[in-house]
Amino acid sequence: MAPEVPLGAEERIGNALPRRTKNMEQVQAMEDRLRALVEANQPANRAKWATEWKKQGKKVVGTLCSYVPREIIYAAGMLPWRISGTWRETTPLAGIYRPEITCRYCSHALESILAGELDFLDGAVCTQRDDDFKRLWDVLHYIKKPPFSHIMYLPHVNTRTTLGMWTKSIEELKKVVEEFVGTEITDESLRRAIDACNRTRTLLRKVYDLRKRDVPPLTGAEFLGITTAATVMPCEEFNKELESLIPYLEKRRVTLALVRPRLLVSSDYLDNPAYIKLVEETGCLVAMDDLDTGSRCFWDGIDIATDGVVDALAKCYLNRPACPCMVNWDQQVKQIIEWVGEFRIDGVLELRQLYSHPRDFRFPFLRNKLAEAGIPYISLDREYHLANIGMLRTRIGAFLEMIQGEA
Amino acid sequence: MSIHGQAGAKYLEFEIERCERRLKRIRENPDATKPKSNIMLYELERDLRLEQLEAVKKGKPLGEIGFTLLTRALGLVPWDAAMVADRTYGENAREYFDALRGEGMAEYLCDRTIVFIPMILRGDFPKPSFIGLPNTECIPLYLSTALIARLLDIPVFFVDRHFANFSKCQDEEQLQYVVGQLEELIKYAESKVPGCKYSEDKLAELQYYNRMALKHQQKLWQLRKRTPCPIPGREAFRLFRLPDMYPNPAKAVEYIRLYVEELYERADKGIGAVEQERLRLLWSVSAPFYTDPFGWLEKRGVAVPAVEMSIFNGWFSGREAIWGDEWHGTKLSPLEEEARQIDTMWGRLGKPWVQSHIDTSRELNLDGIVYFLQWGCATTLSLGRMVAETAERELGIPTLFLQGRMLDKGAYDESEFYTKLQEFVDICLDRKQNRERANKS
Repeated sequence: MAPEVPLGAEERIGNALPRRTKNMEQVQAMEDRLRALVEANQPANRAKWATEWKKQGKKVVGTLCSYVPREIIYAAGMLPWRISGTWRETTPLAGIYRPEITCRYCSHALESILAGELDFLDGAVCTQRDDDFKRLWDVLHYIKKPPFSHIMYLPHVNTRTTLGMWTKSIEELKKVVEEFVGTEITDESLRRAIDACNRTRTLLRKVYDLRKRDVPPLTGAEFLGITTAATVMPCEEFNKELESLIPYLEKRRVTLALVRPRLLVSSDYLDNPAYIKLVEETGCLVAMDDLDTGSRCFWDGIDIATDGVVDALAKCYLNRPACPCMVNWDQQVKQIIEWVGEFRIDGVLELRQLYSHPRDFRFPFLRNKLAEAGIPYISLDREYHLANIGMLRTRIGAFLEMIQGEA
Repeated sequence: MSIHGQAGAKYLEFEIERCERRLKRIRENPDATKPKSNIMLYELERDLRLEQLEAVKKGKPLGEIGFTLLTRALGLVPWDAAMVADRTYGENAREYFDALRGEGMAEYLCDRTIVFIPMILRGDFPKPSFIGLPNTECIPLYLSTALIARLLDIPVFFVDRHFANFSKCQDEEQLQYVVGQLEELIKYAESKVPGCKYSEDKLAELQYYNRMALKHQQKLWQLRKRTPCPIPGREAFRLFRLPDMYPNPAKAVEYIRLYVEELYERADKGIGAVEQERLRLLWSVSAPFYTDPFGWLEKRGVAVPAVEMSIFNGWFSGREAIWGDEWHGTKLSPLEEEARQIDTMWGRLGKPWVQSHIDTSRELNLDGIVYFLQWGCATTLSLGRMVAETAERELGIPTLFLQGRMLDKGAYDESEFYTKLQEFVDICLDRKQNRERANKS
């Protein structure tokens, strides 16, 4: 039986308004836990778990790219912690090394590091997904902050040949991490880490199934809050929390401000739910995403039944829905079109982060293919931090009107 | 229609006419201040465009695969769209940028790597039959070429090279990784492009010519060390074309031999690019094509003996392996050699790039660095500070940052540009005089 709020006691949670039910205390408790999860990656909260981890004498390694296999870091007994950049407007410290006209996520991440906000990190790992990330790593290595940093080779194309070298890149990461912590990562510890991360993926897929409903139990902004929580919390703790919340979410009945049109938001390095909230406040529901901070990082699980452990890890990361830095654009578009069908999407909103080249170059191709598929699409520039709100509202509003006009 | 009011192959005809005009002018009224070997250079350029024009008219396949050797070894005619785009500087590029803007493409992308997109889409430059795309150039060039391939359904094969973590050297495994992909590329190209057939002999032949040309460049490197430097800055900035680009690579080697010989003659007579050389600078990354900072500097007694661009100074100085050099004591097969050479500074981690600035500045006894912050050049923009700090620390020389675009002069402010350059020249002169005083005492 769904928990209910007593008559006369209503609460507004973002855009979601739980209907009045009887069992107030239970509901309140679940809502508090949900709120804590949704807000886990907010600036005030995101370092909490990392700090607790450190208090236990363990290490924390920042990750700067969704292709970094978190399982390797976990298996070594460290906490992989996705680096969100500072959400402040200016990046004066990063500006010493990186001109304004470079990838804003990389600059905001560097700003956070230079400002001392991430001094708890024992290390950082990224990939050479594009020139900006290579150069970010170059600066981190140059300034020796954090003390340990590693950059992984990531192929831009997925073939049998490149998969082999990607597997070796993961083995190299494993070796480097082993040297850093001074202990071997056994197959057993890696399997355990994979199991835990696979569980996260399964749970998130289950939660995302709820987005297919006419009225999902959460707003798009809240879904992003949950997926980013997974990147800053220890795996087991996140799994436990989400596992206990899922039955509640399945029964949670809310009144969302608007449930049509249904949009899919596509972007990179989008970790601030305020952007999704802005989109939804303009008059729609973000019913699905194509984000490296969202669906792309958990869509496929790792199958260790048939392959060696590292081989399975490599396959999963390279085969899963790809970021625009990979050149399999046809498959990326195909995946978006599949999601449009599966989640009954009315339009695709792409938020291109400024100075992020892969998406910029893919844009004409994606536009043409979505037009061929008859899917309404708009691509807008965005800053990494929340900015240009008025412009975005106006442009998104016009897009929504266009979709509604065509409907 | 093209920016010149011409379409398709007529752009090539325009270039051929341009070369012929220059050749006529040189023959009838040679400029004694310019190298005599220039005549060969324009003949080579003209012949390349003639070859491309014939390919377009007769339906022969054009292609681009990393460096041009493999292109020719597969029987394809080189398609040098990015280099052609370099010719569209100033007002001419505006039309293409407007087209890009109209398509919604970002304003801040590296102009050099996007201008050829509308050029190809509008038929102002021929469409290639095949693209082999290594990830060793910068990401914008990689992706813009990938975009062209995707939009025009051109068969494309991506070659991925591993960077050695923090080291410039590949190991054997990484080399064979690229060799394997090149073998796949060859099979793929042969299956997709009618008439395309790989010739290892052709590859080896072109590698030989490239080696010869680079050997001459290495001789020229020694000349760059001389004071006064006989090489004008604009010559140092000219994008070096390897012989493999041209239909007659032997002639290209002969051209560079004559060019080096001429410059040695000048140097032996004490003729420098600058009347009274007061200062020597390294120019880095690139420069605006619509103004001549090198001529401006020369009028003020400032020589630019070298420009830091891609891997060229590494080759010219002998710091980087050239075709035919041994690999850990052994000789490579032609395809292995190609796998080794599919490499530029842009695709590596930053340290080799920073180090190249230091090595070049030290070897050529330079007094400062002008680091051009090219819009959209993610591969170099964020390394400027490291270059500047390292140069200051290890060599005691300053660095000037100049922001701009190579082809699009929309954001260019001439007064600001040259004021900054003048101030920098003054600082460098000051620092040089202080150094000399300190050395004397």
